[in-house]
Amino acid sequence: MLHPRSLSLWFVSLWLALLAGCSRPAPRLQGELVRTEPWSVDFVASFGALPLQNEGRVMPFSSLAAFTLYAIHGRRDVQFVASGPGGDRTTKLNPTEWLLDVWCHPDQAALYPLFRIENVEVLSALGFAHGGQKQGFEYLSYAQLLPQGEKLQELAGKYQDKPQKQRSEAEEHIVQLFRQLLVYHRLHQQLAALQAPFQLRGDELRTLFGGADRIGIADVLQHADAFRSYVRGLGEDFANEKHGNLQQLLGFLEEASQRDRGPLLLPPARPPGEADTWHSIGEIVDAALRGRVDLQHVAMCRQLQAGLVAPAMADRQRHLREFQVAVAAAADRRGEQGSVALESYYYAANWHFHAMMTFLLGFVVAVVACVLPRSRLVWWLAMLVGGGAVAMLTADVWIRCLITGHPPITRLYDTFLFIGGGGALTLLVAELVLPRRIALVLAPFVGAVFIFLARLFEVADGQDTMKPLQAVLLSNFWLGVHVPTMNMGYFSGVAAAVVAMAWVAVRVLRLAHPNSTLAKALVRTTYGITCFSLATSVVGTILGGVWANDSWGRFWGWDPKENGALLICLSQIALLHARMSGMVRDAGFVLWSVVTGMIVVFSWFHTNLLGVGLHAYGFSSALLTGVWVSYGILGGFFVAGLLDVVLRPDPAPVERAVPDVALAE
Amino acid sequence: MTATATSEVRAAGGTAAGPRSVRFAAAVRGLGSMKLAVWLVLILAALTWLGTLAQTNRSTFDVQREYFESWFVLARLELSFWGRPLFPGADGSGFELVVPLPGAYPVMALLFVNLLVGGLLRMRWSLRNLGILVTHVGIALLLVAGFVKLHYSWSGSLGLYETPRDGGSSPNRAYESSRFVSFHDFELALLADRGDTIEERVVPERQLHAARGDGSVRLRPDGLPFEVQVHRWHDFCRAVPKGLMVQSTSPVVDGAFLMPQSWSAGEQPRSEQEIAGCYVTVYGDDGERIEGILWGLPRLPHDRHRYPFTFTIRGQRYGLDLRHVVFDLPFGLRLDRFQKLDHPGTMSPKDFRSFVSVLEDGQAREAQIFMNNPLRKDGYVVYQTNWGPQPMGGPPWYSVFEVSYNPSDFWPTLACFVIFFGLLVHFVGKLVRFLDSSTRSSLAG
Repeated sequence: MLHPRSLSLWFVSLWLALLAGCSRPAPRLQGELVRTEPWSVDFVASFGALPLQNEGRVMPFSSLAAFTLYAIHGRRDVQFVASGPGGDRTTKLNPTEWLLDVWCHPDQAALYPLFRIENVEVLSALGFAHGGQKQGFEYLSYAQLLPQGEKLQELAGKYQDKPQKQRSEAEEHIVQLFRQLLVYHRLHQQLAALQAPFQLRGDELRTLFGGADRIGIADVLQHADAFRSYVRGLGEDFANEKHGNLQQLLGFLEEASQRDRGPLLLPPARPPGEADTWHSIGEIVDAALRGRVDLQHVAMCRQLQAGLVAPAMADRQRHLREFQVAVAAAADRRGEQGSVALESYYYAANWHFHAMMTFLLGFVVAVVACVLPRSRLVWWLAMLVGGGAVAMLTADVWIRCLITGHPPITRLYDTFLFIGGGGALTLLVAELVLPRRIALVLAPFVGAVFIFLARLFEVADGQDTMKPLQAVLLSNFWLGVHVPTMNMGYFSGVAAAVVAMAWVAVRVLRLAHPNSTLAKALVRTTYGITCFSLATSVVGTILGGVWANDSWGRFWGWDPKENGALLICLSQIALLHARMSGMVRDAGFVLWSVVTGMIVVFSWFHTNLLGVGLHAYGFSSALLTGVWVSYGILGGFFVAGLLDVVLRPDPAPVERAVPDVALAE
Repeated sequence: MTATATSEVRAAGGTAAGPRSVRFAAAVRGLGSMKLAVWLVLILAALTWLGTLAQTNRSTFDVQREYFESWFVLARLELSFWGRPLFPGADGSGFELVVPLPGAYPVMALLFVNLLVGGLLRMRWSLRNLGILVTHVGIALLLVAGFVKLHYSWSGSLGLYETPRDGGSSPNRAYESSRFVSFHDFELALLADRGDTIEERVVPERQLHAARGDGSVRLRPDGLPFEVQVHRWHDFCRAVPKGLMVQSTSPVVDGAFLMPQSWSAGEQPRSEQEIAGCYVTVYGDDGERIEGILWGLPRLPHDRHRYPFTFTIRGQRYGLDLRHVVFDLPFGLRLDRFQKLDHPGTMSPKDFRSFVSVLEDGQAREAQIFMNNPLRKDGYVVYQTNWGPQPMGGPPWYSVFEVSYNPSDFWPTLACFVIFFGLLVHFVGKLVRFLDSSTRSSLAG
């Protein structure tokens, strides 16, 4: 008999197949690089912690950069090949470096192959030449896409009028592409006024600005009071040529005050509670021209402007660093810097990534434990590594809680980490209760897969995973009670399904006899985890109803998410009662558990994608594909197991058989 | 727990002799059997699953009525694979499989009986079964709560404008009220102008459904000198002025007609936005015949003033008003102030709350209603549900509340505690026994 050693080989093969990524050559830059010197590593790390306000919360620059890049580019870095004096060179930029380029070298950043086009019809619709490849993807730069902006806007407007579910893949892609272009366009334009100095004409104006020939926004802010008095004193005569190019200057300032639509960069001078919304540079320009100048903001703008226009990289980084320190100090006075610093640390420390790698190590050690079944030391080592990875993941989730000020799960992204960590922990506990080394191998496998999926989701979704919550969810009591309990039901349901799949693999691959202690132990483990899952699912579902009764005025509304949760409970209730009444035995119990795993996927993810009800948060074809892949895998195990049970119902007996009755209690 | 342990009949029952009592005992055994429980739970699961998928094309409210509050349902399953329709028809939707199933109502009723008989009465009452018995009590309580909610509760909405602080109130705006209106159900009010008062007789919507299509319903209100014939009833329609370029498929009365409406494909139906309408013919005792159109459009945020279809017979003024069903509250509610806070720099609300006064016996008591913090009083619960004007907001603000009356409001919370306790006792007991069992040592590798 093959026993766990062969099983381990199967797991290794599966894992390798999962990790086999497709490599693709980096695209070529259409143009020449202006910035030849790289950003220093230290500067990128420190400037990444610059606080700013975006989509309702104060966050570090690095988070804004990362989520914007994920949304537009669909990758964690920007790569391209550019020709230089020494020949072709591949450049790789992390999100912070990329956004620094967008702000400081907008013309160069406009050439980066950035906008990910996954559908050839989109290229055709916008008039781009292509090779006719139906699948795969290409990248377009901002410089390439901008001339097609009007066409894109027209098409997107047309498709936006259609209900989302009726749009074709290409139409939805065009709608999304236009949104991405707008986001990029705002960032591209945001600091343009600070970068392009204004050439003054006329002595009056030069005198007004301390004799300078060329001025920037910061100069206007610095001399705002005098400039304002001067313009008011002129009355209707401001357009007269004898005042130099004052009229053009006013136009320049008007544009500067209106163009800035990106993230908010300047913290308010007034304390939180009185003023919670940060200011854009344009807003500050507007306020200054109306007689409300804040010297702190003037100083910040000067530092930022100096950083943007300094020709030497060292000076540029120094000024930008000064700007970052000034803004951080102001945010600190408002009590907002703590969470920003913690978030910077969170993304830099990357605990969940380390947890994933540790899970992989744990998987390898667990496989060794299977190969050396007599070694308790290796078994304990595998438990320790697996437990360590769970601890790292817990630390990661804990830091997220500290940053957001909410319990562990507030968004769909969080559920991956929670389910991965919880599933691994459940399997480790199952291994402690009934040590057969299968759960020992499965625990780190499940943990690593879910963290991997979390990382895929983070990039594919391209949305800030700590975004502020809508009013109905802002109840830390219910977020802390209902949501984790329900997700405990999910992760234990997943864990039970995974053990059940191992039983199917063991049976189909003839690794052990169905009456062997190994197979019986797997059934028993599935049973134990199912009991835990049922308890948490039932309590979690009812708690959800009680919450709904307090927020929406009804305990139960047959909403898809509620129904999904109920389905898990019903499936497990029926399963346990069917087992008790003798309607199913080992094989039926295990195969039903695999189906329950599919129901967990339906409840956890698919219901959100139906686009119906109060719990619907979004719709994405990529996520739907993920759901169907999960169904495919679980369904494949179910069908394989069922066929094996039907076609080979009575495998030859083995020596160490354990009668069914032993499992009845 | 073994299969034999749970199917044992308690000593107190099932001992009487005779074929009748044998048949009775067999019926009780069948009703309380665990296999029946399994099948009922599986049917409920199938209904839940099909009812969930049905919501992609139909309103949750309609699906709820058809699948979960009905006795029988022809469930429809649109076949799809990998998110794409299978065997698509002319309209692009997948082949629809029709599955006849009992509705969730009889299934849950039978499950309740099964639970009482098999899960409580016939189960061995021992310490070992304590957890299971307690859990079953909790589930039974939950089912009863659902039954009470379905039959003995009602809900609707109440919208109020902020009371002007400078006293400049508008007669068209409701600032306080002790009435709320149903979300979905309509009623036809027959009104008689008695000088100082208006006398109302109401006919519920379901009595008028016979007037759909070519049917008609005749109403002869007691003590009133006329008869009303209701015809061409539409559950969802729009009253449209008949212009030169407008084609009408229905009769035109006073320059307007009712145009039937439906949700277009891909649009998420919302039954609370479906406005009913009908044509009426009034036959006066004086031989006069009056034609009219009724359309139940609610005036938002609240029906402070309605403009019924009026007519005069023998010098007396009467009216007909098709409106959402109106309920009375035992107390009044006044909106003193509404506050909406957004997440900084966005239009996304962080908090929206109403500062209200509860009016009772000439007294006013201040209270706050916001998300997750409803006002509970006299069996009624008032929830913050909406605000306006949207999207830009006030002033003047108005706030919309959902009002519900549900005698079983607190029962699910109680059931939750009971079930939690029961499952905890049962499963922890099982785990402890397993850890100490010979099975474990025989299975451990």
